[in-house]
Amino acid sequence: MCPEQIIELMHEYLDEELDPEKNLILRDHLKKCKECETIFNELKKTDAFVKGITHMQAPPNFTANVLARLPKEKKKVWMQR
Amino acid sequence: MDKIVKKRIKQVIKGDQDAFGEIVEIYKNSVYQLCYRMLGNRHEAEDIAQEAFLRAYVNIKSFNQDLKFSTWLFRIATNLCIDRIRKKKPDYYLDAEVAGTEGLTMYSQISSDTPLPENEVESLELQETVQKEISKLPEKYRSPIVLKYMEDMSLNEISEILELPLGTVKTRIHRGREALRQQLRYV
Repeated sequence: MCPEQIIELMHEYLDEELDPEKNLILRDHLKKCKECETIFNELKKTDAFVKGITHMQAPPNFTANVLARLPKEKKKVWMQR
Repeated sequence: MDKIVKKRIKQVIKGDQDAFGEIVEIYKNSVYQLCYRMLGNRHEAEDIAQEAFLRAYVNIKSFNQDLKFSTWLFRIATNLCIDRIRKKKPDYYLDAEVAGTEGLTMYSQISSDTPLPENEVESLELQETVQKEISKLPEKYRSPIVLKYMEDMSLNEISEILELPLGTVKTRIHRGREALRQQLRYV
């Protein structure tokens, strides 16, 4: 089993926080270690899957429904609660 | 956009509810999506998203106008989602079932608009699977993962929203991502 640090570097890579020096360490290691290469590929796939989720839109009438639920009283009244 | 929002906030403080409507319009999709990804259920997501805007409205005077409004709003929404998750029994099977059912609703809604080519159907199934796995994540990993991926937020912003140290946010994203990797590796 590879050092935890290598896995950590993979996450830093995905967070776009990996500096060039560490990037080199990661790349070097991946060339030598099949197991880590697999994990790295799976992490990249996971990253792409989660990123690939379509953006959602609020249901119709959302804004109107929120406005309908706003307190009717004057703001002075509800600030005193 | 921040300028417009700041102006609208001032109007809301003066009692202008229509100005608040404009704020809701700007953020409704983000807040709704955040709630859906956290809860995995459309009805709950709509309910909590509405609640988040109500809380923002009622507490708007306590919003520090030097800060980013979205950070504050997302914090309210995230906290409401976390409260809701904690109130539920930690029964992941039940959660997963709900998420699956909701996925079907999503599918039927989209398919009523336009016929879908086969690869898009496939990707919808994939999206359901991914959402189901997100819904199964423990809440402390789920929030930073959802914020990072759905809103493409910086780690600093996430740490502000969740009021957690940056290091904690990073660790949680890493653990959450690792959990998702193990669930999604054979998909």
